[in-house]
Amino acid sequence: MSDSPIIGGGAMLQPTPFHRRTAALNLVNAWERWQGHTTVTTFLSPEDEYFATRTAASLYDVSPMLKYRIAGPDAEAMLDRLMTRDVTKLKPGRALYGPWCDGRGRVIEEGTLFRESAASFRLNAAEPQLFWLEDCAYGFDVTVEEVTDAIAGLALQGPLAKRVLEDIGLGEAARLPFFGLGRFGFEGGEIEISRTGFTGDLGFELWIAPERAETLWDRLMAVADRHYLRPMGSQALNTLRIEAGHILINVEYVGANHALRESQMRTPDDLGLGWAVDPKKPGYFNGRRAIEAERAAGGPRRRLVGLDIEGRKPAHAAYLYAGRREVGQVTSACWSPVLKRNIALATVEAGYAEPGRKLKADVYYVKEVTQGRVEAAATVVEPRFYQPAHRRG
Amino acid sequence: MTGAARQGGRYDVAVVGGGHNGLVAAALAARAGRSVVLLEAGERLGGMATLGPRSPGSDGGFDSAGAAHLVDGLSPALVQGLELHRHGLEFAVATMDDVALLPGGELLVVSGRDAETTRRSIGRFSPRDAERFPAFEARLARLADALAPFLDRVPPTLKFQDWAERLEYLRLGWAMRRLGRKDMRDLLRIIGMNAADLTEEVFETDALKGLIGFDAVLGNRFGPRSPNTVYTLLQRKSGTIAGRRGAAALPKGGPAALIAALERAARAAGVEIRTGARVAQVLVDNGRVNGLALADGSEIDCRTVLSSAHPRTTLLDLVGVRQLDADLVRSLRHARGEGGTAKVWLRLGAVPDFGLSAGDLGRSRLVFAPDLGFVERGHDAAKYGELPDRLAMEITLPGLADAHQLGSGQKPILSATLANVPYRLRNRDDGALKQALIQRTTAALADLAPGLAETIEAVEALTPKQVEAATGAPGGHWHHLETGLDQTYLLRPAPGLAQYATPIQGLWLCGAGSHPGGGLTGRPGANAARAALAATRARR
Ligand SMILES: Cc1cc2nc3c(=O)[nH]c(=O)nc-3n(C[C@H](O)[C@H](O)[C@H](O)COP(=O)(O)OP(=O)(O)OC[C@H]3O[C@@H](n4cnc5c(N)ncnc54)[C@H](O)[C@@H]3O)c2cc1C
Repeated sequence: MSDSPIIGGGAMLQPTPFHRRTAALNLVNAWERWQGHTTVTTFLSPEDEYFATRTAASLYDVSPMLKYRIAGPDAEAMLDRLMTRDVTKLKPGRALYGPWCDGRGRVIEEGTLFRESAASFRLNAAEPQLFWLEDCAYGFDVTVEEVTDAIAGLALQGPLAKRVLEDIGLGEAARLPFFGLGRFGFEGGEIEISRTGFTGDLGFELWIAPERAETLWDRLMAVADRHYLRPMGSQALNTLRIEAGHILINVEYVGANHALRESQMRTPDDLGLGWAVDPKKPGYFNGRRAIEAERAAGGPRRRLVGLDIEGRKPAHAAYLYAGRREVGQVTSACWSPVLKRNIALATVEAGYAEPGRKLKADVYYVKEVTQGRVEAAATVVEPRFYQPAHRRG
Repeated sequence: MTGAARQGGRYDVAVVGGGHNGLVAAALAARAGRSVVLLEAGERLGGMATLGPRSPGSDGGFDSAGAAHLVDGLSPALVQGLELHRHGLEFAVATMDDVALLPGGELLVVSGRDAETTRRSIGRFSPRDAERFPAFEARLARLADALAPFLDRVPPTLKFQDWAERLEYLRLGWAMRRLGRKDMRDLLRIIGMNAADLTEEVFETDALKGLIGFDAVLGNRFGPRSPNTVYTLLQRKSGTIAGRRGAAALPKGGPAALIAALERAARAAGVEIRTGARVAQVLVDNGRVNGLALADGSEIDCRTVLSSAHPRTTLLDLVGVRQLDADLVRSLRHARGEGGTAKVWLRLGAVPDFGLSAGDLGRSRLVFAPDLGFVERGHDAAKYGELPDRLAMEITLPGLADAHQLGSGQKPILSATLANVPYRLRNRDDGALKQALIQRTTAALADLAPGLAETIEAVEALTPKQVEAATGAPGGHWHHLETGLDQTYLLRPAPGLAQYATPIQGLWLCGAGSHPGGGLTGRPGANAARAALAATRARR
């Protein structure tokens, strides 16, 4: 280990609590950084990891996800003011997904809020939120604490996820309702499990103390071959989440607290999250006046849409045209193996966002060492491309 | 809410706070035909202005004294519009002389009325400075003139949406254009500068530089080397009183008389004034004002509220953070407004000997700030929570020009406004601060006016914490919020609140915390009333 003052005296990035296990299986040694941690890009074959999730089950290490505990007598009120959804309706033992906005109604981030008890919640986020949460806590009797490193997280996703849980003695957790949350006994200790995930499939997220992470991993991998349970990296996950129509921060939008340009900020309606803004909730929430004003003025200027694109070449970052007018751009694109469709998420001017609208996508692709270009027909569709019934079942 | 529960009455407009800005806003709303109630928490009107040395245990005899002894920025349009002269406003001295006091008894006089007196007085220190002074004064006056039109107007938003907004920019642009290219360049160069650097560019006389440096910082927690104190100096010079730009006047009867004139104007217009009526909450229904709840449990039924309370009090306490966006709450919490100004009053058995006749003393604003370093070192101490050993101060003896302002026994009262007083004194409580203020002020005065100490019959003091306690303005700041460039105009009291409107429909800010700031100007009250009346007119 070098003591060089330039290189520093230790690892720049932290391993996750599952690192020793995932490293042993990371045959191509493909790593990437995620909030100060190293996580796996792919273990060997993104296709295999993808199909495991869509047809059997997979494990994905979500430990670097930032986690905040908000607790105290005013926790519900504080979070109700934070989020655009009605948090007063969230019962203990349930979770909800939704955005939170700044005072001008622009999305800071979206994430999952878990109600662990009447007066204690956990919020998961991709970008640091402590500063904002503390601002939002002013005037409320709550404590806000970052608990990222105190909780290891593992996403167990796929149609066979329930059977995997049953096999390792967590049959009770397997019966959690969609967006349910509970604590269960596991290997002489406790585990928290939520029926949540980012793949659009049936699935769970398992939350456990870091020192017990490897035990959990080992118990799961012991039954892996029985169910074709496979560890998965971020590359496969990206295809899965595009199929599910889940937006990703810094890809579909930039958080309002980080964006340098106003033009890069998005309101919930811009992002297709209008359903997650509750206009009937009684309390005020950050951005409410601005969102209502935008709606009263005719809605957002642009919208996030799904695209069905002809051909097989993913339309990465493609410009979109209506006739000769440029009306938007693709933010995420992939070939969907399960749907056998060429799909994309895109932001387009509101006037061109209704389902069925035909646009042209200017698709560039790599042809060995040169670039090819095709103009492909693109049809606007609902962004939730893949929504299997077993997801909620 | 049912009518029966709202025994507080029903009005078109309710005004929170009976300081001078609340009175102005109420009077203007009533003159526009609205039914208006004004609710003042205390038993006395006038807010900071009339906050006097009448604490329990005081032996009285300070009856006419108030924190604000001079008037320099009162809006002439308002004096006319509210017919304040008809309602009793008079000036005992229309234009005060500035007299810089120096250790050893020397004086430097900047006469408000006679340029020749000024020239001769400065000339005793430096013929060069005497020659330069008129040009410097004229230069400041031209620049202050360019700022003046901004003071009486509602700041525009930065959205350029409608024609009225664009017109406003044109109007302001025109005011700046009239400056001409040379002055415009000068303004842009110096507005962000500190007052010390500016005066050092021009003058060599310490006493003169100290006087200008003091005027640049009085009221704010700045030293003459703090950035943008040229701006605060210009703002101070941009008022016109009794027809003179940048001058100070002594109201006949003291600040209480100015407040009384405003009160008469308000009552004459039909305002119902209630003292001892503390507003506990602005009732909000669906984002709109739906009345006021008073501390006594009664409710006022109204759809428009103008609040002259501190912006933080109005929004964070009376409305509550739950109705507001967290980023707005953050900017309000961060808005600077810790007071740095205090008062000491002395009742003297005899006219003190500052080297001036009694008549001249009555007409003079005495300033003890012998050089820039003196003021700056005071600021350094205050900045770190220490009380400076030697305090810079502004002194008047109003009773010598206006018999109404003599203390009991027809004795003169010396009113001292002290700069560089820490809001939070390190390791000592407010009682200790008060004692130290009295002790250091009397010690300084004993040096400046031989024999004064022996004639002191009674003393009183007022600390920023006491100002805070008595008016509810957190920090007890002269301007409610500091008037540095970052808290001015489009940014005052906080971004998004500069048009007096708040996110709560029907709630307007009308006190010193709003543009253009504090001092007895009436401008925040008048501008806010104008904005609120225009908005309700548009909705009808
Ligand atoms: C020490 C000192 C010396 C000064 N000297 C001068 C001077 O010489 N010349 C000059 O021009 N200016 C001077 N000033 C500044 C000037 O006094 C103030 O800027 C001005 O008085 C502010 O007026 P206002 O009406 O905006 O607010 P305020 O005077 O603060 O009035 C606000 C009123 O609202 C009331 N209020 C607050 N909360 C509630 C509630 N919940 N319900 C009902 N009522 C409420 C308060 O009781 C108060 O009466 C001085 C200030 C200080 C502190």
